Amino acid sequence: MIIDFNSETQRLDDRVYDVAIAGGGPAGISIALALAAAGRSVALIEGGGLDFSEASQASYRGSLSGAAYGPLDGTRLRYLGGTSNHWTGRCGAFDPIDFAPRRNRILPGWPIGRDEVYRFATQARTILDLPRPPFRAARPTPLPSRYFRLTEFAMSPPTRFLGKYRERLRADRRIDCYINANLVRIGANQSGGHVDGYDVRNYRGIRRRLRARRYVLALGAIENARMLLNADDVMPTGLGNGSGMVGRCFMEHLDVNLGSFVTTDERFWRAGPVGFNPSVALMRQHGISNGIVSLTPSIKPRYYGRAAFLREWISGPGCRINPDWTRKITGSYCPGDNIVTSMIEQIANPESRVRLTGERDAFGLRRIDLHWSIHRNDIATIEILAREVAKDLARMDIARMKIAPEVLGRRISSFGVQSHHMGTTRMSADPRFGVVDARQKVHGIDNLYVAGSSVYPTGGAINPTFTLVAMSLRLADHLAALS
Amino acid sequence: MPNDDSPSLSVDRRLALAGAMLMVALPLDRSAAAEPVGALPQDDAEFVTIDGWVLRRDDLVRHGG
Repeated sequence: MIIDFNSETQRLDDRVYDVAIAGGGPAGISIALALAAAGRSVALIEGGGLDFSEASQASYRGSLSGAAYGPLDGTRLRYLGGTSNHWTGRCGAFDPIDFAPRRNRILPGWPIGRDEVYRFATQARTILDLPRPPFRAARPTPLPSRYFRLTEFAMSPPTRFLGKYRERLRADRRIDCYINANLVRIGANQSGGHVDGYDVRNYRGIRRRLRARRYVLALGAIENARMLLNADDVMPTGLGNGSGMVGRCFMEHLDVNLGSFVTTDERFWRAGPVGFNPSVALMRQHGISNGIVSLTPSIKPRYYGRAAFLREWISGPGCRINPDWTRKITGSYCPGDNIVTSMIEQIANPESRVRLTGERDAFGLRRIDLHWSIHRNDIATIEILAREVAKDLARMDIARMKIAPEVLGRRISSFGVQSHHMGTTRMSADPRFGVVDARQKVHGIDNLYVAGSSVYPTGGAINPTFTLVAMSLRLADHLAALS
Repeated sequence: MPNDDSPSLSVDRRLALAGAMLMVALPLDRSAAAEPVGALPQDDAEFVTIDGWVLRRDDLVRHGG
């Protein structure tokens, strides 16, 4: 059932659930439904309600101190269904190479294999309303290249978890889904090795303790780390942070304009845009990360953020009258510019991190500062991929590409992002290099687990949602077997 | 009609040479051999970069005049 914690708080007092899950997004809801189907009792707590509210969203505010990044309360949504309430639905799987050792990495990669990560891929497809496998390229014809392949993916409708699963959450008697129930403290024993409760608060200041045998954090990559770091009343550096890794290795997918292109084979481009993924040989030869390089002829400019409407309004006539002036004013491009966009894997870099500030939100939790850091190996990947794609376009004689000067000179100063938050509680067999183990259990704590893309040790070059749902089902399977 | 430049090797010696070349091509690390890595570009010299444009050398012949 769905319970509004603003009006009903007593229910928590006399119950001990099999599993308590904090966070009602795709990870939390997937775990709750799978556990309930396995006969386990579940408490799912969501800080927001059934719709967007400023009061809830305000808890996401934070500061930025590293590379330029968007506002932290602007890239995610804090109400039931989480960020699935505004995602675009692109899904795909990590490549086999993403699970192999790579020489440009600082830290070890995945302690589990690709087959294990995608053990519940079929069920994840059902949850996300995806077509039957395999993921496919958008073009019907193969790319005539030996060094790149077409990016393979599928589009979810996109699935809005609130709309799709609200009725099931309401009707399932094994699930108590508390909305307006904010996790404000993780209670643990004196040694910090066992969680004994989640302290939950509503918007009227009433606080109760939620008890369960096992606990899951499924709050998103930034908030998962924030909650562990805020638990410094038990352990001085926060829970699960013995090696100082909580909050570290925040990763994004870098969105860099690599340059522009002219087409030389109209027939080829009539079949649609192209996303290039480098071959294993190219990545190994150059010691670079994975990435997608996208070419869309006559791409329509996209505008986001403040004054998006104004910029779009200017760009219409502006691009026809004076394209150079319009590009400067709008900070974007004009139709026909044929820009080359990208989505580049960022290596796990301990200097890229979220950490606590002194400022507190309405619930008394310290806010976070995102110090997003781009490693020189990331810059190298961008430059090398741009060069190799440019050569391959010429080799195939389908286009010629002009690489942007800042990319050629490795002097890139600004990076677009995909709002794919990953890392911060990375998975590692060795506690020195991560926060959770191969079962997503926090190292050194016997009953606390983390779900979502915060556990990714590497980010690959594909949108993260499909993988995080598949891994959440894997975690639910494990928890169901324990309970 | 045989090409005058063709090496005058017997069939046996040609087979032996092909076998030796195959042995050289096989990697020692069998796990590496199991991974389908694909081919590497060997034609870097065929491209030039001018003012950021990555062109084929024959582009210059065609368009450079």
